[in-house]
Amino acid sequence: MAEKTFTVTADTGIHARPATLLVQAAGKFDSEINLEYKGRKVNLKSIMGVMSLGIGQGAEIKITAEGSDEQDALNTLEETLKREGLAE
Amino acid sequence: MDYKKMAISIVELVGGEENIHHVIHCMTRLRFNLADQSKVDRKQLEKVPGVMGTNISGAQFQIIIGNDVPKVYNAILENTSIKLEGSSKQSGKKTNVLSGIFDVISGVFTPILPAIAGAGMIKGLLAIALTFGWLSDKSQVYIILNAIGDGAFYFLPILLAVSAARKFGSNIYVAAAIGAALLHPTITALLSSGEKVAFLGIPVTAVTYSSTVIPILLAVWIASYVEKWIDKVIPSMFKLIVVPTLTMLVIVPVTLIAVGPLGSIIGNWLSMGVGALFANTGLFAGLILGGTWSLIIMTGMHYAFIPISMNNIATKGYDFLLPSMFMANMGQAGAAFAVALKSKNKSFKSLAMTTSLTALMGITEPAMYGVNMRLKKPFIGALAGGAVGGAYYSAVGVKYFILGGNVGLPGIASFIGSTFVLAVLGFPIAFAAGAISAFILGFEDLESEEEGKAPATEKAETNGRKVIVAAEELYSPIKGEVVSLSEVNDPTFSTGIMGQGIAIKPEEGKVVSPVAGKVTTIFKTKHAIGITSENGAEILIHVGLNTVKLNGEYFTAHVSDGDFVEAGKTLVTFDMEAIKAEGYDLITPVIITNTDRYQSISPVKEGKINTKEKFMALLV
Repeated sequence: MAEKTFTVTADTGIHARPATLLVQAAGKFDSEINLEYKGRKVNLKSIMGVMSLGIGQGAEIKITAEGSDEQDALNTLEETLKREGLAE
Repeated sequence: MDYKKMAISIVELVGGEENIHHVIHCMTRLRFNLADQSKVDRKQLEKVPGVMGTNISGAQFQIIIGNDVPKVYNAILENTSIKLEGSSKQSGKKTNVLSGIFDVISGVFTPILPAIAGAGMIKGLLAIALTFGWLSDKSQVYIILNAIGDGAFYFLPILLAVSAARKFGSNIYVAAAIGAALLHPTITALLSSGEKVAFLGIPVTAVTYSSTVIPILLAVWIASYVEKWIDKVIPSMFKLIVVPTLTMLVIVPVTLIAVGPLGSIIGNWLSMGVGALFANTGLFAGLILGGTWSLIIMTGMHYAFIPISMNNIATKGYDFLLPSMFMANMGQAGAAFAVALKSKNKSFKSLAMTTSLTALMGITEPAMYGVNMRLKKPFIGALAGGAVGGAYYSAVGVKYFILGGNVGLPGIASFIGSTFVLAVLGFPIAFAAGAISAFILGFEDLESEEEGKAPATEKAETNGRKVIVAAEELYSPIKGEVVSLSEVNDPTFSTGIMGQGIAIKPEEGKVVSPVAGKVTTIFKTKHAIGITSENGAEILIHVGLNTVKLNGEYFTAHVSDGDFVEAGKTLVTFDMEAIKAEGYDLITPVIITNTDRYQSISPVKEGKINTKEKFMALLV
């Protein structure tokens, strides 16, 4: 299992558009990918799941990936988060 | 999750090993055929950790597990004496390469069947009309009707491109454009001109792409990888332009230079080989050719035979190669007929019967791809039918005199001559051989409709908990004017990447729940509300564009996360005038974020809408 913790930097948090970008990025991989925030864990391939966490600026989030392409998935998601200025 | 423990409990609670005739699984369910359903303890089963529910569908007892179902299934196989049944196609254990290829081809054909079955019917009837002289092939009526019947076949690569792109996950419109390029009249003219053609110095082999199957499937398959790779390396701001441009620029020439000719080069060798075979061993050659024509046609390699047949007719006055194509077609018709007799799935039965008829009329694609190949074994039966017919034809030396035209019953006139009666006899022989072989070989029937569709309806997921998705209608969450999502001036919504939906231009600053369900999320900025309906629809109502920046100002929430609400319950109110004054567009997209669970999502009403009116229909 691959995992990494990020701090959300975007001032509007992970709302509709960023959630969509992440879900799209996650959807390209076979691995099971989850997003954890404040002890709640959701499937990172579900827009509604990601949005339901209500992640705001400064939040500590953890992404975990488990499967054949877990490392690739995590790298891609990290790249997406950074490129879009969402988290680091 | 301890799958072993789970497997053992499940087997015990469905009445033990001896009660299980066989078990298969689909995407989310274990499907048992049990000796005695009354031995099942449903209550206890539903308490087993990992089991989400149970269901009885006809003779089948189903346990809903979710995505982990293959692991549970394997655990059952490992920990009991239950064996993988011949009928467990979903197990994926005994798939070999050929069967995988068949799955892809028939999977790509299934969605386009209505078009080719319809067109095939028209084509077949026209061929009959032509044979009996009811219509002249010069008449304008014929030309137009023929275009209706032939369009789907001539441009088959474009239809296949769309369907293949869906399957391989590349852009469907780019794929269609690739197919269109291959069929462009100037390309066709150039490639059939007989001139030496080259692209940037690389020779391009003359191939006709109309009606072919394999080249476009390979092209789209390669495109799906190329597209993803380009998408990865191109910065996002250029993607929209660069990705499709490069994909097409790479794929079309690659197809013309390498993919298409592959079939034609092999076809040339093949036709030379077959010619030599016929010269030496007549009966055997007929057997082989009759038995493989369907495969040859599939790859488009049959074009390579036409020059040889033309040469035969020119030098000898008759041809002996093409007649076996008739036999192959009769074999397909026969096999589809056997499927029609044997299948218990009503709609599939009638599809098989229709396609058998069109195959008799020389239009074999629907029978071949839509029925025989889909079930696999009947396809082998069809090949056997062709082989028997082909062997018979070469044994009695059937001669064929007029090249071109229909390759089914209506084309029988091409045999008129010394061997006509013998030729006509071949039709029932090949048909019967195909039908009998397919009947004896048997097949794994499609499940009847309600069960077949069931897997698509059970996948919704909210915070890891799966619920069953059912068709439903949503009420309008806002009073205002219904507009298409594509009119929303924000690509996140308008391109549909979040899911399909409809937008509303609000006329009142109040959002109500469109369904009975649970409030999944009210974003702390209160501009976006997520609701999961009792039927499993995940609905996102996003008030205004970029309104996240207002940080909650002018919005008031009337419910909280996790609340259960009835349809019509006020969720959020907002100050329309103030938000407008700040320069925001108030257009409100209503998106179904789990769109992939539905067959279709469509508006119910156009124009002005009120909150008590039906708004959107979701079909599964």
